[in-house]
This record gives sequence, C-alpha cells and structure tokens, in this order.
Amino acid sequence: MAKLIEYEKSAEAEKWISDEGAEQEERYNKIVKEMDDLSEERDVWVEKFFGRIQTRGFNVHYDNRRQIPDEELPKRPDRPFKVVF
Amino acid sequence: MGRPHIEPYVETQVPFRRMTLPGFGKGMHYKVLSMDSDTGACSLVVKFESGYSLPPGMSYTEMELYVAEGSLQFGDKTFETGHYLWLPAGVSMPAMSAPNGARCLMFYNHGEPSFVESDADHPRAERHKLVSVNALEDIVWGPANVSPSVAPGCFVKVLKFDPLTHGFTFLYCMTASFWQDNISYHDCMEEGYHIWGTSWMMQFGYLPTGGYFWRPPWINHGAFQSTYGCIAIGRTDSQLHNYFHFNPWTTPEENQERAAAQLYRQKRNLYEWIRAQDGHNHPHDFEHPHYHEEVRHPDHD
Repeated sequence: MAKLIEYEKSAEAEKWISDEGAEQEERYNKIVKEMDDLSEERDVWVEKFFGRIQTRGFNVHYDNRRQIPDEELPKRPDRPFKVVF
Repeated sequence: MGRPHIEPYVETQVPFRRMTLPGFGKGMHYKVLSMDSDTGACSLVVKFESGYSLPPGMSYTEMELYVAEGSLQFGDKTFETGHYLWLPAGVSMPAMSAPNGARCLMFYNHGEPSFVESDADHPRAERHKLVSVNALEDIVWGPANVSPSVAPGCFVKVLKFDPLTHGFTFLYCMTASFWQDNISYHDCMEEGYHIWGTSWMMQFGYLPTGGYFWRPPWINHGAFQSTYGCIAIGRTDSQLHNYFHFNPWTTPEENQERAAAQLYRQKRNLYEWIRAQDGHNHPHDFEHPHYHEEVRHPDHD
C-alpha cells in the first residue's frame, strides 16, 4: 500500500517544515501556559466531577452508571497536575 | 519528534498565511493545526480564494479533504459543503477550481503538502481505495459502535475505515445537553476539529467552533459536556478503544500500564503469546504478510 510515494524534498519544502515547526513549538508553549493558568478552575471542575460520580454516577458504558463510594475516590498525588504532555 | 500534543488550539483568531509550497499557485491560504516536524505531515485549515484553480495533478502523500464551507469543482463533479475525499498517494485528480471560494480541512498524512501536475496516476497509486462522499447528505448518524461506549447522545458517521489498523476518519456530534462523566484515554492518537459548536472537557475547558486537538496516546480527557451540541471531524491512527476511569491525576505512563493490565485480563492468551520470554515475537499475518511496511502510524514511525 503506497501511503507515501518516495520523492526528494525540495529546499522550499525543507524550509517550510522548519519554519512551521518553529511556530508549532511556540504554539505548544503557549498552550502549556494557558493550561497551567486554568489550574484553579480545573480543580473546581474536578471537585464537581467527584460530586457527580458519587451521586449521578460514573459512566461505565453507554448509559450504565455506577455510583462511586467515598473510599474509591483517588487521592491527589504530590506532583504537578499536568494535562498537556 | 513527530507531532506534539496540541490541545486545545482555537484557530479562528489566527490569520491565514499564503501557501508558498511549489505547485499550489496563487490563491491558497492555510493555517497549520498540527505538523510532524520530521516529515511535514500536517493538518491544515485551508481557504481557497474565489477563482482559485489547479490543473490535473496528484499528491505524493495520501491526503484527506473535508469541505467545511463553500464548494470545490473537480472536473465535472462539484464537492459541496460536507464533502469528504480520501485521496490515496499518487492518484491524479481532474482540474480543480473554487469558483466562489471555499474553506476546507486538509490532512497530508505522511509528508508535507505536495502537488504535482499530472493527468495520469502514478504507477504505485491505488485508485480503488479513493473515498469520495458527501458526509452531511449521504451518510446517516449512528451510535458510536465501540465497547465500552461513549454516553448516549454522541453520534458518529464513519467516513473512512482502514481494515488493517482500524484507524478511521469520522464526523461526530454531541447532542444538546450531552454529559459523559468519566475520564477517557486511548492507545491510539486522536485528532478532532470542531466544525460547529462548543464542547467542554475537564482538563482543557471549552472547545468552540474552530477548536482543535491532536492528542497522542494515553492522555486523559474528559469528563465531557456540551450545552447546545457540536459537530466535529475526528481521526485516529488505529482502533479506538475507550479506557474509562475516574482518576484525573494519572500520567500517560500509568495509563499505559493500566491498558496493558486490561489486555492481560481481557485477551490473556494473546497477551501471553505476544509477551514472549525469549525475545520479541514477529507475528505473521497470513492475509497481510507485508503489514509492517503497509501500516505507518504517524506517531510511531
């Protein structure tokens, strides 16, 4: 199956990839910062999520739900809460 | 380094840039959503100016196209809004034009955007695999047919399905008031672009029209919610399996371990055989003996 037909990349193409790659790196760093800035709000969302899965239930499969008891709720580990990797 | 985790990214406030790569001519503008900086494989939002045209030609890499707004003319065929095209590498398309302009999503899967003028297919082209369909009019919404499944209210239209990897391209929609209270991750990459509407994920917040993500495997996303609904295009590079849980703080490495543990429980014979103690197994597929060459995962090669 030919998903890619071998060819020689032009100098323009190499430059395009390099320029766009540099821009993407900036974009990635901006996203990481924006997601760090969202941390406090995210913590509230997590608390509300825990509330919902204890009352309405956790979606196991389609409309099957299970109420999660207190003792099953995870404890926050002692490390930064990263969402972008 | 492949493609980084781009999530969330909203392209609507970012200006278009003129396409300068050889072959595309004047009147094509683009924004990069994500790109593999080794190969140039990329996902783009593209604007074709009114009157843009190209002669018959082909791309060196397979390419996917979705017409988000306006229409395109290929020879005597019109691709209206909602049209999806999967173009295998080297397949020649007739002369193309955008008489009234168009806005598209274009996915160059294994190399940078390329266009070579040609009115004949490349000898290695696999024309029989071409997919061309109006996704809005010619395919019906169905439930997401995976187990464990997303919550009721999320529907899917499969646009292209790879029988070797089970990777697929699809439209998905969340109906108004959609809620899914779990956290998901996958063992494949997942990509999505919001054509219309807003959804919310607990990690990343609100993703509006023009919102985009390229998410490598093992990364937590969800819970999920949409107040007024949304419609999006999505892609995976292999079978999409939902690993659901409710621990928001797990790492990709922990998620990967957990997925392997699930494989041990759910497909134990296969797991034991693959996990050969005396070295790596090299599974032979009697149907597809050359599958290692045929299957290229953008994130793994």
